[in-house]
Amino acid sequence: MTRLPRILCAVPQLPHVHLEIAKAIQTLWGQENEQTANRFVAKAAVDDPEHPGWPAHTPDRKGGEFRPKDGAFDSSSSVPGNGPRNEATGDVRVAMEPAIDPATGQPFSSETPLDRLGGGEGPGGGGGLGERSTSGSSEAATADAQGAGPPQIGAFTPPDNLTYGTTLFGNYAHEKIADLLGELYPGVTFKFRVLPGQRGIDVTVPNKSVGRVGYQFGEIKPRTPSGESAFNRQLQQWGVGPVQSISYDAAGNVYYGFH
Amino acid sequence: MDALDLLESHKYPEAVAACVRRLAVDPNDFGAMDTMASALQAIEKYEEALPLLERVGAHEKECKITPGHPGRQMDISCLYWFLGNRQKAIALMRGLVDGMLDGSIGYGDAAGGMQQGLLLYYMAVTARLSDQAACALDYMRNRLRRLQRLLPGLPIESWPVPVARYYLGDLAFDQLLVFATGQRELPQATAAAHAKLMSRRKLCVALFHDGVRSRANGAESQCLARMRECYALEDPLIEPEWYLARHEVERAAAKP
Repeated sequence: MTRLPRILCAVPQLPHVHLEIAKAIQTLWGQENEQTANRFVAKAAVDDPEHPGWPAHTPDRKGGEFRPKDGAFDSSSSVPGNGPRNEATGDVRVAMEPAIDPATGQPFSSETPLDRLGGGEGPGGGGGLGERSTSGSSEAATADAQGAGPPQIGAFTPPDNLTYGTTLFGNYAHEKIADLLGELYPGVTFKFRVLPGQRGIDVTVPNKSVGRVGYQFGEIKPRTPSGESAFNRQLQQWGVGPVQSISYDAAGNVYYGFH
Repeated sequence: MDALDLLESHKYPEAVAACVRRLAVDPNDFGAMDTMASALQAIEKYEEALPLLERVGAHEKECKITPGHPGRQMDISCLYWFLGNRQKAIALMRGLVDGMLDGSIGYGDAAGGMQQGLLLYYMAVTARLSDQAACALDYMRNRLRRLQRLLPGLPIESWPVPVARYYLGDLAFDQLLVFATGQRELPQATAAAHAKLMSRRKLCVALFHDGVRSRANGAESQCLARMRECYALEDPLIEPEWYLARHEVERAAAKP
């Protein structure tokens, strides 16, 4: 422990280095505290179709407890948004400035290093499996270091008649997230997987734009434990990287990563 | 400035030079090839852009986690069109349509691969191939039905769905402008396009295909007027429609 200050003095005094150091410290010293506790004290997730739970602030202190699988509740109003939310309907809303890399404060460029991304054992992949879903981009790294949860990149308004966790909701979310990515990165020609259930990853970025976007592949999943598990399982099958997880919740908020 | 910055600043020769330097260091720098191909296309050096796009496309098709990726077939088709090989261009574009229908192509735009149908229609109308034009319109209907199956009872607005709906008579041009830019009148739509790249991309596509529709209806002068309006927009660097409009305008100007 006493060696740490000397190590810190030896590294360049750059913002993204500080963030990585903060992450490392959090990982090394914080894992026996809150994170470890959370690992073993599972709370029921509101939007988990397999093991649904009551949302936070539910009357009678039910929040976080498991609820009956067929117990209906208004999912669109039950999950508080974690970021700015415009209530305009029928459109996607951008919640971040993608052109600036928060780790460096500089615009993304085609030379932006990819070794900060999560996912994959291939060239450019960084970290182990556990990091893939939590810090798939520099924005996620920033948020993790600050303990702020995943960065919200935008939102869409789910129609009232859609139920989170259903195929229809997933189809709608995929369509809206495709629109959202277009709005976030208007200079990029994304390619999207056409049919749900098909093999293959959801989003691909052309070679020249990888530095701008910060990743080459993206996979869209519900922000649920099962969504995260499925993402990690697919990453193991694919065995390449880097892959950015893009998650959405019942309220239509869209994030990079799950946590 | 890196090569992509130079490209986006419309400094095309400088972008090419920067890519050449990168490729000298790493001959397999696909990002540099991709950027260089875009810059070469912007300065109408189509023959030089072609092998670069073929290499980038082949690389994209090889990726095992994106089975059915079409690579750069759409861009390559347009390059053949510019080079005067219309038969090859149409065959490649038709291949993108057929591939989507038979499932061999699994990636496309946010509307499930609508763009190749729109471009096939343009090529077919321009080359006066009525069977290909009918195929393109059928394909647009197919894509719309697919979206309606995926999202029953929900509004389907992913771009370029509104362009297909315009071709199919489901939308008026002012409604198409609203989808593209949020504005109903062209002057305001053009102003919106100057302010926002995504609006410019969409307006470029909307103007181009309104021109194609005029051509299909025999109104060639209206068609060229729309092509000129499309070409007058700043190059969004992405949409094949902008380059096709430039090609139309230049061909019209070259005619005696």
